[in-house]
Amino acid sequence: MSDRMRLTHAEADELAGLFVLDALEVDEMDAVREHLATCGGPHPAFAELGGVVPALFETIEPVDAPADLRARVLGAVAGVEQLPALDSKAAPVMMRGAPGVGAVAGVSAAPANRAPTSGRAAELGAPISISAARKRYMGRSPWQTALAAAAVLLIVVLGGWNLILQDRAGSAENRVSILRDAIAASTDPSSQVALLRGTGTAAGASGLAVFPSGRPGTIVVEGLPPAASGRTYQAWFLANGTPVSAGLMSVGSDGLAVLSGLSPASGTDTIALTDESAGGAQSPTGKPIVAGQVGHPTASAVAG
Amino acid sequence: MSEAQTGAGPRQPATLEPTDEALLDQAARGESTAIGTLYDRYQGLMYGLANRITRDPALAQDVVQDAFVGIWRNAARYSSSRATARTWILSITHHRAVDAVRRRRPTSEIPDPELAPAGLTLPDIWPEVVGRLDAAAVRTALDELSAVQREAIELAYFSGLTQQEIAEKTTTPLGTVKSRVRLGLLQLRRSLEPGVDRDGGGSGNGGEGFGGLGSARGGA
Repeated sequence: MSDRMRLTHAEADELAGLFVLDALEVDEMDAVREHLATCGGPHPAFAELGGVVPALFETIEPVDAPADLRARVLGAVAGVEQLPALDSKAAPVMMRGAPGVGAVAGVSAAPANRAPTSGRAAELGAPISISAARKRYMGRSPWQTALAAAAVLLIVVLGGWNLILQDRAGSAENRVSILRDAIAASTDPSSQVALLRGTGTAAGASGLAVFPSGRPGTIVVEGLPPAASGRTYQAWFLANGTPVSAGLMSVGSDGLAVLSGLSPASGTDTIALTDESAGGAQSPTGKPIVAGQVGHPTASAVAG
Repeated sequence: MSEAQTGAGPRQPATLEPTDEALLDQAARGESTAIGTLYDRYQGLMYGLANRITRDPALAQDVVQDAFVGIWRNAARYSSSRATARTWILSITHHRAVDAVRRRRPTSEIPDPELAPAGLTLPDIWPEVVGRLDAAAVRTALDELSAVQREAIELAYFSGLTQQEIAEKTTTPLGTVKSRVRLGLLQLRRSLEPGVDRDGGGSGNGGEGFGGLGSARGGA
């Protein structure tokens, strides 16, 4: 993670035009994506410039493909497994090759940095659904639940990306790395952790905010519906009810919204997400749709 | 571009025909016949786009096939709230074509074909405008760009070049390439936006914060 390209707000903004045209090198694209996922400031240029791109399709001159291509295409499609919908409520994520529920418990009892890799995941057990895995942990202590949530998220990421990327992790490695770091941090008693739960339009969402001592924190939310057109999710640090923007969040192709590199505002006791206009807001304009209180897990709970 | 030609990718199919979005929904439910219908609608545009980017008919066929495999695999993940089916399908085709041409360049990194194309990561905030565009309007707007802006956008989007490659090809500093692309896109937006006075600033937000687009013409 340490050698990843990191962009300032201005640098990311400067690349907006090339980003929306798909004209950046892979590491640059990744750096822009990461910045957008973690930056608290507005980047209206991306939506502004990206909205123009479909107009370029109007300049395409149609050319009839060779007659035999239709049969080739239909033949190719016939053998391909489809990916599930991102909404885990509508279509539980059934991950061929992902670890089963038993493996989730295994992760919670073992150091998270030894959690299964995507390659190992492919060797393991039966398909699971996220909601079924989560139910196994209802009633446990907050810390156990935090670990379980982290484990489930890890499964989602690794299993999901395993299906999506097959043998080419590419930039997904960065995302998995961020999640691994967050999960590893969640096992540290000095970390602050918030279990996040959705409500209202995000009732199916859940997640974890992890703030390791002396290191940047991460917020991960699963089960959020994609933000509506012209809207975005914005994360907030709340200290005695006073909000400070943590950054904008969007739902990735893996179904997760991830915000990393966070430094919580002083006195933060709650993490919350609101639905805001694209570009974000200076302060929340509506009620939180996802929220959770920050606290220290106890050492005894970790040991237990 | 004739109406018959644009029939390769109609925005509004004839009455009683399923919409593109409905076909993607059918595909998401595993109905492969929907892919056949989408193929009939879009093969011309997709093959035309792939040919334009790859300049290789055989490779363009592979791109179209690969794009349909991607459409099939990801059909359940398509969201009409984020982009029209047409934009989604053509963006996938574009992304796969760029992937294909960069694979042929030994020094280039390969974009991940399963990652959403850049445009699709953004809300489609302009569907009502894009839905009314036609080729003539877009070509006119492109003609209004400075030659260097037009060239930069063409090389970036339709030749699959990265900013570094554009800079080398045009012997232009990297910063100038960024500027040309950005200002060119903003000018395009401003030109295509309805109700905008193209000569006097109008209501377009394209020049906001960039010192006015008029000054960019010919100089960016």
